[in-house]
Amino acid sequence: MKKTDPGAMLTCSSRRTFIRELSVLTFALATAPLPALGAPSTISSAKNTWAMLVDIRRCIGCQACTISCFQENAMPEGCFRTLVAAYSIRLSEQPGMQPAGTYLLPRLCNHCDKPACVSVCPTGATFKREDGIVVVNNRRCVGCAYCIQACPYDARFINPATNTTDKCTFCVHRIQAGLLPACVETCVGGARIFGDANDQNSQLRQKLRQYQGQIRVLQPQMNTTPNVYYIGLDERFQGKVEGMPALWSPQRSEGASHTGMKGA
Amino acid sequence: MGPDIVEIFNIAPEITWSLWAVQYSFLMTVSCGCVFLSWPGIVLKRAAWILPSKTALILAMTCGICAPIALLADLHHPSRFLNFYLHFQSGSWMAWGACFIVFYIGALLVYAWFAFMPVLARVGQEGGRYAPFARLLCRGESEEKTRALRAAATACLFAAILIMIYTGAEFLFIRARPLWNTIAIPALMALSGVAGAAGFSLALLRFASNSKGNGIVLSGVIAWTQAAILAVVSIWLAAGLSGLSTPAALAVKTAFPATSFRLMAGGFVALTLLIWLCAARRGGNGILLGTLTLCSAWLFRWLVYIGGQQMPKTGAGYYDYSLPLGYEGLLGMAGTLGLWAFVFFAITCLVPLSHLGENAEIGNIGGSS
Ligand code: SF4
Ligand code: SF4
Repeated sequence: MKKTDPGAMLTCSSRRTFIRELSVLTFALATAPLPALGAPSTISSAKNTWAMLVDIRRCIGCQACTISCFQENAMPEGCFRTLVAAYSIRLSEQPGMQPAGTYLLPRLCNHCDKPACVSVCPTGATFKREDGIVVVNNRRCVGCAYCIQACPYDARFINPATNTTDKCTFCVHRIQAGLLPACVETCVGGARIFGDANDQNSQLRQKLRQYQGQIRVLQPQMNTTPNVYYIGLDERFQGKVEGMPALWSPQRSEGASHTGMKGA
Repeated sequence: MGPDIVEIFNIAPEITWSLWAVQYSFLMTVSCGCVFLSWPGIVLKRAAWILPSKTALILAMTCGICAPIALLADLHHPSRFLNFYLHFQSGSWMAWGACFIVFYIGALLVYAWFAFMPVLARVGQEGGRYAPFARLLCRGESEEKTRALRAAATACLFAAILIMIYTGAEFLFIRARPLWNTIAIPALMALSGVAGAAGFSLALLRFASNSKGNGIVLSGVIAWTQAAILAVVSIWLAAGLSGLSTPAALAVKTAFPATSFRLMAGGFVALTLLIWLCAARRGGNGILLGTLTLCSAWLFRWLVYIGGQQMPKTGAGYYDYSLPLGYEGLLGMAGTLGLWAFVFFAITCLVPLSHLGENAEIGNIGGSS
């Protein structure tokens, strides 16, 4: 994790340096995860069930979460544990009305209670911890990709650096240190709320209570019982999206392809 | 009017079960199909089947030995394959599959050893470069081995059935992929595997015998399997289009909007129809008929493995995939073919195709030399 000392910044002698440093600081604050108030203070245990609530109405599509996750977890180029899918949607055909709008959907592993990925894994490399987090033991994973086929959310991929399956871990290393996941920490709009679903006083629980009836999960028909909940999830985006395919995909950008990087 | 939703930014997941998985499935199911075809001639001693069955058993060995190598190549961490056994998970079909493969290959080699012992003895007697190996391998030949042959053949048949079941089940229970999550896939996998085995044996039979009549039984198998494939596809399609079966309807809805899938699926059905007509009318040997049947079995696997993964689970549209030129694609295919050719050459040095004829009475172990 990158640490920045704001005090040192303010003692910069030249104004130009200060302005330059300030822009760096602004960027760092937006992207690098810093310890925040409200971070879970306990080391994870069976008493906790970690979950996330994504308030789509508050997402501004800045991709700060995408970048902070990418940095925090040292992802190879073209690989993402989370990202915000962006869609353009038709709003109105009426003259004078807003014709189109943008719909943003942060996607990540749902840390399902009945994870399709765990039951198919032939080696037990993928498993669900007592605190609800689904992880991959990448010293045991053989890279058979069966879990990738089974996950209904396309949350998994082969990491070309390790040749094993990779996915979001809810930043388990940070949780164990009493910190929030990097994406939550850096979310500019405050759209990602993380917490212990067992703790009735947690912000997550309170929000889940407050918005009861508006809470949705992705692909409920798959019966995986996700632990990532959404407010403002349009049902057209709950499953496979019917529309024109992606205009831009990070893997297709020049030099980012990791196809074919296999080996022992 | 344009679409209501345009995806601007999303990830398109990589195809993770690549060409190597297609090759594995192709070789393994063809090998199992060959074991089924070996039974009438070698174990049940049906006269018309003797030569086709022996040819099929040669192919069962060659394909069966190459298949696990293709499977290893499909793993992203092949050097850890022992983890399948060290950390066995009884809830995973793939874990069971890893065990079935070992059982199958072991049973197949023992079955072939007993079945080809008279041929090995003959090669050993005739002399030549490979005679010492042949003599070494056929040592211990005795009357009692007939029972052992039946036992090994039964074990191998059982293992082949298990492999066919696991290969289909591995797809069937993946709810996330509509095209796979349907009972038609295991049925079609098994049928096309047997058809491919009959096609391969028919093509090879030409080199083992000049008699046209020998291939009639195999042409019959091809005709029946193609008819069954057409029947299953028709029922599946009807159930999907009418909405009678929810998984089939979902598969049709997901797969059919994609032009490339429709073209490939249409091509597969047209090829199946053509093969059926040729096989039902013609009979006898046919390198062309056999090769076409083999290609059709391969095309079906490409359609299922690659076509299935080209359908997004969450994203819009259909993911593009074209056969890469490197070892994940064309080079891999050439490599598998080369490996198969090497194994075939090694096996036929000890069990030459020319010796599979009437003189070497398979199963009559005691009376060979
Ligand atoms: S979202 Fe996919 S990878 Fe994550 S727990 Fe559920 S099934 Fe497994
Ligand atoms: S790729 Fe790894 S984690 Fe996934 S099913 Fe195979 S062994 Fe398990």
